[in-house]
Amino acid sequence: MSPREFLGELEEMVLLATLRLKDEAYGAGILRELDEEAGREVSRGAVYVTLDRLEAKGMVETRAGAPSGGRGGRARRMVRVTEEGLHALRRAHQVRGRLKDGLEEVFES
Amino acid sequence: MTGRDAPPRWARLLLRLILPEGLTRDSVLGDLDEDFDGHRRRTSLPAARWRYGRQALAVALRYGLFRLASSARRQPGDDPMIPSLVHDLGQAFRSLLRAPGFALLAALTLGAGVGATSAIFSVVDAVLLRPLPYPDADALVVLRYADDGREMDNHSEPEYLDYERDLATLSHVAGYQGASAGLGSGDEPRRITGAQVTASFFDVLGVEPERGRAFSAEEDLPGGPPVVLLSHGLWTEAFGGDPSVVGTTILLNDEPHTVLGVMPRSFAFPGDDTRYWVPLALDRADPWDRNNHYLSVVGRLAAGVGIDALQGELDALSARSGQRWPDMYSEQLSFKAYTLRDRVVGDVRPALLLLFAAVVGVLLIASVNAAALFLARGEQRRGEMAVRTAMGAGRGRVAAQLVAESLMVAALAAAAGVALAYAGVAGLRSLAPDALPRVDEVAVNGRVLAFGVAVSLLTGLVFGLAPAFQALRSDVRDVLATGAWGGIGSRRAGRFRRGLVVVQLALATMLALGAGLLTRSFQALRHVELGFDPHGVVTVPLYPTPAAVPQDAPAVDFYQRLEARVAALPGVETVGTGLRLPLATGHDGYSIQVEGKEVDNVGDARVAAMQYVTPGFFQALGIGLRMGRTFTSADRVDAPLVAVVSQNMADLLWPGEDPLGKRLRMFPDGNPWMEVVGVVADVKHNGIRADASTKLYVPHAQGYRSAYYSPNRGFLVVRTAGDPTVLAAPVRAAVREVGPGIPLGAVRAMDDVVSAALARERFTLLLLGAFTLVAVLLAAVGVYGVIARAVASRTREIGLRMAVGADRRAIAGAVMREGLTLAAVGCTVGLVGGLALSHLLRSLLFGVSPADPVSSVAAVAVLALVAIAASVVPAAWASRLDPVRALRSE
Repeated sequence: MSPREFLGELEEMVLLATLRLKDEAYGAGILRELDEEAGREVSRGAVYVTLDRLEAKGMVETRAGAPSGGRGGRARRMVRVTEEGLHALRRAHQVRGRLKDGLEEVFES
Repeated sequence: MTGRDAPPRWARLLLRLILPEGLTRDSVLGDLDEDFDGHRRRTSLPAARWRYGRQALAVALRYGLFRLASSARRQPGDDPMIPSLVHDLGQAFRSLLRAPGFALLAALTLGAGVGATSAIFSVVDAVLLRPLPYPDADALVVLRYADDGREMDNHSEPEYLDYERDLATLSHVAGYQGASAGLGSGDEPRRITGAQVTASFFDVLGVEPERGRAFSAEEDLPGGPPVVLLSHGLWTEAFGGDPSVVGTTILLNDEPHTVLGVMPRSFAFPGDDTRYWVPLALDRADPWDRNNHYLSVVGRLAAGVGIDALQGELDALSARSGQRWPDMYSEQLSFKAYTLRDRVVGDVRPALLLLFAAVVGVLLIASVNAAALFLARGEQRRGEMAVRTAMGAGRGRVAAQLVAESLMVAALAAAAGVALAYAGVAGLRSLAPDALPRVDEVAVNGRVLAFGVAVSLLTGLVFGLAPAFQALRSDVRDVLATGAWGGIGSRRAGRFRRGLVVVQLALATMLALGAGLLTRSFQALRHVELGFDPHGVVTVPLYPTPAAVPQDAPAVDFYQRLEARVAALPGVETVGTGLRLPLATGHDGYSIQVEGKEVDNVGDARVAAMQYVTPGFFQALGIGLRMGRTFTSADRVDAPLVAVVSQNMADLLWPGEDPLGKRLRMFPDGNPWMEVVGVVADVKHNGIRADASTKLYVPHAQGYRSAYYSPNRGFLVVRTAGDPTVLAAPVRAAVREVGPGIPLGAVRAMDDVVSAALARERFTLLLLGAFTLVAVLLAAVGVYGVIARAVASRTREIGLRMAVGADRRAIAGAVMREGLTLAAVGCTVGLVGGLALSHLLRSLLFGVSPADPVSSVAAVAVLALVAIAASVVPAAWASRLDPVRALRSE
């Protein structure tokens, strides 16, 4: 991954949601997680496109999961965060931490 | 999960189209199914389907954009799943981004043409193409009465009853006449226009009330209950759209009427201003006289019957009627059938078709300019294309990319054109209210949009591709070997461009010729002798109810008092009253007998256009006296009966004789003789193009003795030395004072009445003038472009000639000659074509021949001047070239 590239907000949120869901992460689940935890309706299309983009960057891997009920026998696209994804997340948090230094009065309310 | 309880099929289809096959598509479809399943259980099936559709659209949109964007970044061959058109479009998009000036200019040029064409198409579509707003409207017909060389809408009651009984080709037939009434009570009741109609009226038109019901046949009998149907507009304006109005009673002309129902919003017949309908209550047992023509008749053809069959029946009926009532009809009697559409829009068809042809001309000229831009660009990129071809790109691939670029520009042009069409339609609607039937129906709708987009794509493709193929035809090796990478056009391309400019000049010349002819017609119309002097005159229509001012003696008294009051207003010179107002209302035609030339049947009798006037009317309206005198206050009801005739009436009745002292009377026996005491100027009454009607004026005070009645309504005509509009308020106040509660119509300056009579001509001329201006400007751009390119491509040659001593003036002259040659060829072609077509304009012209030399010379002169002006800049540029630099130039 190019060190100049930052994670987009949605990319970061999708990565975090994927991590929280552990082995159960797939499209619809990630959407639900974002809806519930971020408290905002995220466009389904945006999430899929973000997943595609993250996969293209090598930050997630996807594979076909077992078909299950309520899906018309269609496979889930199971998502796992790669080492590179983790690295990008950590880096994003480091940068953010450094930038927040000295701004305590803004964030401690 | 199949069928009705499954997600919407279109949504799934859309996703299958957009998403790449494989895990992505499968998983997204699966996720959506899962979501759908959950939602269906938590909420309802329709809610879940709605949510699925929305989400599928959102996903498809995001994926579509994402794939388009990424395809633009990738190379072909990277991803076999990306269709090549998407790739080409992406490439075209980037290629155009690198030349935004070209893209914008081409798109705006085309877009302007498309927008103007779409706007006019919207008018053509609404007025000429779309059926009238009635079910099966093509079966609607209008019957007309023709006898003794004149044709009219009006029929008598017995004739209408004949139609009802005898015409098997009509499934329904209805009679109606316009009416007006004061609505409500109080100091200033509203004056509204409506119609008296037979009960069959709504069956003929096939429209039912949206609330309540129409009249029954029983309600349409003499002495039937007073009932009324309201228009949707009147219902909302006067009654706040209150549904409970149906069944209640309202005051019409001071008489209570029961509201039976409300017609749909779109229903406006016979006129856009019809606000109510009441039963005609025709007395079938004892109809009016057969020669009392006042009913308009509309019918519906029976299923499967054509209008020719109806005309056949009408011919047989008119033959029978002529034999049976020889004293009523002449041998020329003919009842005629027309389609309702022809009657509604027939008049404007030639003007609209002319405008449409003109705007298509503008579009072609604009397209040619866009084509010149494509051509120039194609030439600039010949090197690039040649390299691509040399490196193995098939010509098809290269052509595909050019197609994609054309498509891109066409799409931009369509967007610009649609925006312009919206603006244009808004402008047209505000410009055209009096000039066009059905103008309310003019709008940018699906058909207009489809038209605009189709025209954009077609012109974009045709005019974008022709130059592209031109560029492609050039030999690759040639281009690469000579290093003619761009800029310099081939000889063939130069010829092609000149040909295009000649076409432009020819089209613009034709438009200018048309505009010239219409301008000259309009001037002729403006200078037509009206027979009266409209300047400094205001008019007020008065519509007293019979209860407020009964006709005959009370009406005479009322107008005398009113005129005395108005005459006392400061600034008023003269005041008079007439039943009819020239260029604003029609008039009744009454059959008359002339002493010494009596005829036996009404059909042979002369018809006079009746005017009931007070003595001041002639002077107030400025109608010139030719012989004898006009009326005075001494022409009272008990004085000798007198009349004034128009000059053409005098010439018609007593050719070569002195009309003064001659006598005439209303046709039926028993009417008293009137003596002609004066002859006045002919007045244009039924339009400025129409012949002046043959008028018979009778004094209002004597009308009820000599000519049936003295009307209680009329137009007050007030002449002032100053600004007539200043009088509007005081005149209204005076009427209020003398006749409280009398409904007044709009106060209008007579100049405005005259101007409105030319509204349609003005509208046509204004638009054609605007189109011509645009056409001429675009043609100028075209000429400039071709000459400038010619100079640019010959820079080296010009430099060489200068280096060997050519005179700068000679160089400039050579360039100018090129422009003049183009102008000469273009104008000649245009003039020949224009003169060949101008006879099609004949019905629009007035007082000018289609071959009018002034218009021809003016058109050619304008275009020649424009071509010269457009050549001056490149010529000056050429003559100022620095030979040293020119010789070094590529």
